Amino acid sequence: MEKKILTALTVIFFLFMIAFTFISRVTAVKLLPEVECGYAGGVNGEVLPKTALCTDERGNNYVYFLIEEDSILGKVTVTKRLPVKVLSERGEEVVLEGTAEYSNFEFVLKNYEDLKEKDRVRRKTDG
Amino acid sequence: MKKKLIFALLAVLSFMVCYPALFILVGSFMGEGELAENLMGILNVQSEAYAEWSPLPQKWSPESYVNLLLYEPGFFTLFWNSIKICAGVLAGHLLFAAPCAYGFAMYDFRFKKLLFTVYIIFMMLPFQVLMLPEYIVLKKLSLLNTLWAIILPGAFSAFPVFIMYNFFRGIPSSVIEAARMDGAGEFAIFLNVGLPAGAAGIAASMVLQFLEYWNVIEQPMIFLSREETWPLSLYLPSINLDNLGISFAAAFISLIPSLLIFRLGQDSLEAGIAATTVKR
Repeated sequence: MEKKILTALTVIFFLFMIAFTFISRVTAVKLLPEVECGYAGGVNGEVLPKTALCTDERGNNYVYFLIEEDSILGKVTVTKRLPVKVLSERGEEVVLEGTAEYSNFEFVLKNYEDLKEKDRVRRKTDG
Repeated sequence: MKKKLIFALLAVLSFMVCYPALFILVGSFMGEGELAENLMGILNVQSEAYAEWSPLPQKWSPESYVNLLLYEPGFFTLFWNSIKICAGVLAGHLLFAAPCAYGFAMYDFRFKKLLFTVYIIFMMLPFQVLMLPEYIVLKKLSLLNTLWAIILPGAFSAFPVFIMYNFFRGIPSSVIEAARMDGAGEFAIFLNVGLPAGAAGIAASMVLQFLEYWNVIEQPMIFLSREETWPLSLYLPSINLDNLGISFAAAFISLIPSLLIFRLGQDSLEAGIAATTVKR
């Protein structure tokens, strides 16, 4: 009788772990900072919205772009900081020096929480 | 009176043995605030406060379990890695160690004693001695940073052969002879007579090796550098004030499979220990 109870408990435990393996993947993503992202505009990928531009305490300008990185959960999206120089401003957009080489990468166009380099983020379109 | 004294002594000793598990259980139900307050003296080097501990939480809180189960998917990756390692090693024992032990117990062949002595010597070698040759072999086979780096050396370990050997040795030769006379081949005898008769030994070895590989820590630290291949024993290598509750909850959850498997195989384990110690 005791063996049956123990076997049942073992099965329940493993079912519980299987269920939470999937649940946690969904719930943990919802905790990540949400960002709006997109590619840089302009002929050479030098134009970004003003909301993408960040300035640190020393007055240096930078933007974040997104890269895929290996992690414990497989490939995840993380931020990478890119120093830029503001060449000009056009309405709600800025023309930047330093982004052209990264025109194939998605940039963080707008973030709702403070970001740091290597932060895992979720794209707004991810829901 | 003497009995009562022995009982009291054993109760105290049992409590001391069980206390770490109780400590983890109680800690896992304390809130982050209470835990940080209690253990500040240990984990914050700048703090001059002493560590405190109450036998029960001031306020029971499932917060740590919620945080672990809902917001730490990495924990599950490591949990399943541990399961894969244990399953692989135990399957290896069934496939390789059981026939090997049966062969040693049932057949006489040249250099049998020498070979078995070599097995025993290998069993006694600590991991620190085998670490470098294993590392070189695994590197040559490009198995570093894969779960096979833990599974393969474990699957061919000598210890289960020794445990199972003692069980298979207990099978009366008349039973084997009778099977032979009935026309059974050697493999059929192994499958239909040897395995059922040595089942308790196999189960004992499985339980012991499950516990060993569930808690394996040295091999993964050396052979696995990528976090996604780590087993659960390496979860949260650094415990700090931010992840205290999660580490208590993770420790308690990782204790459950060991407890269940140990309890399920306890009878076989006791029989296995008896078989290896009682002189026939």
